[in-house]
Amino acid sequence: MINPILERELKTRMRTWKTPIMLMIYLLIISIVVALFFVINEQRYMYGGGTFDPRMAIRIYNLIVVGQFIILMLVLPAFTATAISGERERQTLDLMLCTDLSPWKIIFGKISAALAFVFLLIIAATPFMSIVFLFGGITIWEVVKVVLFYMVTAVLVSCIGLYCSARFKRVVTSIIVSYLIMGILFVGTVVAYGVFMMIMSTKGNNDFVNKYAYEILLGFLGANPGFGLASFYLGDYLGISYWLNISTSIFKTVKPWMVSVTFDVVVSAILVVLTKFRLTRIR
Amino acid sequence: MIKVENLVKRYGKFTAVDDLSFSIGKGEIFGFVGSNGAGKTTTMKVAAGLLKADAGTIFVNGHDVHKHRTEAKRSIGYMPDFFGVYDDLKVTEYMNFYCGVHKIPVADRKKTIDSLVEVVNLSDKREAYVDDLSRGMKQRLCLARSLIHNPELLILDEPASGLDPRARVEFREIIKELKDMGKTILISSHILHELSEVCTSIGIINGGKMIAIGTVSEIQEKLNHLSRVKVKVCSDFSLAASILKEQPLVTGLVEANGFIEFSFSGEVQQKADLLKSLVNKEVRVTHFEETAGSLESIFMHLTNEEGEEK
Repeated sequence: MINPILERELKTRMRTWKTPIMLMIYLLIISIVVALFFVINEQRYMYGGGTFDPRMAIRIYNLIVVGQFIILMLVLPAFTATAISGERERQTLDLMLCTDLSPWKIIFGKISAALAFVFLLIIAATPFMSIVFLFGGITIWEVVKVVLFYMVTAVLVSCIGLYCSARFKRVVTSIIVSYLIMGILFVGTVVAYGVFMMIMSTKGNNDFVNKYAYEILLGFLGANPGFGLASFYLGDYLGISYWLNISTSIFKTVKPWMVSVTFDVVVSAILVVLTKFRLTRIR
Repeated sequence: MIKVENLVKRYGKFTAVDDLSFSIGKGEIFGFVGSNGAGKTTTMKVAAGLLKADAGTIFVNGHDVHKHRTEAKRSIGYMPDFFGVYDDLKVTEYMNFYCGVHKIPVADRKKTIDSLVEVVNLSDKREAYVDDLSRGMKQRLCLARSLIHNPELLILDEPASGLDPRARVEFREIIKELKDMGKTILISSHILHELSEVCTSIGIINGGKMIAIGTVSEIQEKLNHLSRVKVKVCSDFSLAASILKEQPLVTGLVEANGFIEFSFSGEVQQKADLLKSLVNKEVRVTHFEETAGSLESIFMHLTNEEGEEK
């Protein structure tokens, strides 16, 4: 028997106009970005007499990967941050809680409904990603890896939204706090890293910074899903290989995406338990 | 079927339910009567396992609702004082969702849904969206939802509130039907005369305390001498009200629709004296009517008495 929460969420979400319109906007944004990228590159080579640069396909792929990731991260909290608080505002949560439906089922129903939507977005954008196969340079395995990374990060974001929706009574509060946490993860960690490096530089601790450059980077940005993804695919652009090479500690073997995935899994598990606690707490 | 023992529930410093005890036998319909904030909904929520008692216990079908929550929940069908519906689902989809929640096998769902929508007279609305249903229909749908797992005990919190007279009559008929099906029902309402028609016993709660409990006839008998009096006067409204308030046998005085209404617990002679005292003080009385000792008058008398004691 399919989880009743998942069944209802899918049914109500997929049959409204909202979903196809959202999907259309999402695909439109990606297609515009890709088209613009092609046009700009075409202009660059138009008068130069040069030939088509095959690395452009990889650049497009990277652009799609990062662009899609940003869109997903922006869309997902809006879905899960309303999951429990929406039920509470609609006064349907009490009705579920006074049945013998397990809170785990409510949580997994809500998370899987959000993930199903993410999966739909990823699948829908596959034709764009497959453009890269026309030019080569990216293997199918690399595409699978990025989708898996998306899914792990999507679980974390869903869990953040779900916990906030269980923690806060009002939908608006839940959405705001979810985006705030996302902001801390994506931007706050980068700002904290920058501030730390500035302080260290001002104090003249350059030796320490140089010696543990990679470890400091991991410590501050390991929790940042954006960094996990970027290091995964844009490692060379970010100079991560350089930092990795100068590292002498055991962390040398630990790639940023590994820290990111571990963080996602551990924090997601903690948030699921906290959400369950929130749901079953009777005052 | 349900036994409430010394139930206490506080919200901060406010005691919503104060040492409440009562029990309802199998197949009985117990009417829970009380004004807003009396503690009815809190008691029902504790019974449904949605709130935790600060003291006391509630047993449903022999199971402590907090210690053996899962077992107790299976015996309870709870209908709160709000709709709690998904407007974007059709009636059958809504019912099917709760069938899933109650783990009704897929093969049995159609039969379950068909029989329940028939009980609540919504057979012709099966494919309608919940959003398109009238208030009364939504109430009936909620009742059908609470019956999905065939519970032995139904907890109905003000099911008739906000319904028009026709819908109330229909709802009352459904309650009678459920009674015939052998369900035990704990029902709260402000529509007291409706409770007197369907309930086997009644409990009057005020300030979180049970102030009267028994069958409708028992309560009426106990307060047989009590009557409700309606008085209308010509322009001397406040003077008349102040004279009446001074009378020791007058309680529960309210002013509504141009009438002064109060409970009077005296003999016929004393009632005549009361009218005489009004006239002697030059109050021009145009209407002086005694109404029967209805459930409302009992309720007004009891709740007022409690209030005055405080």
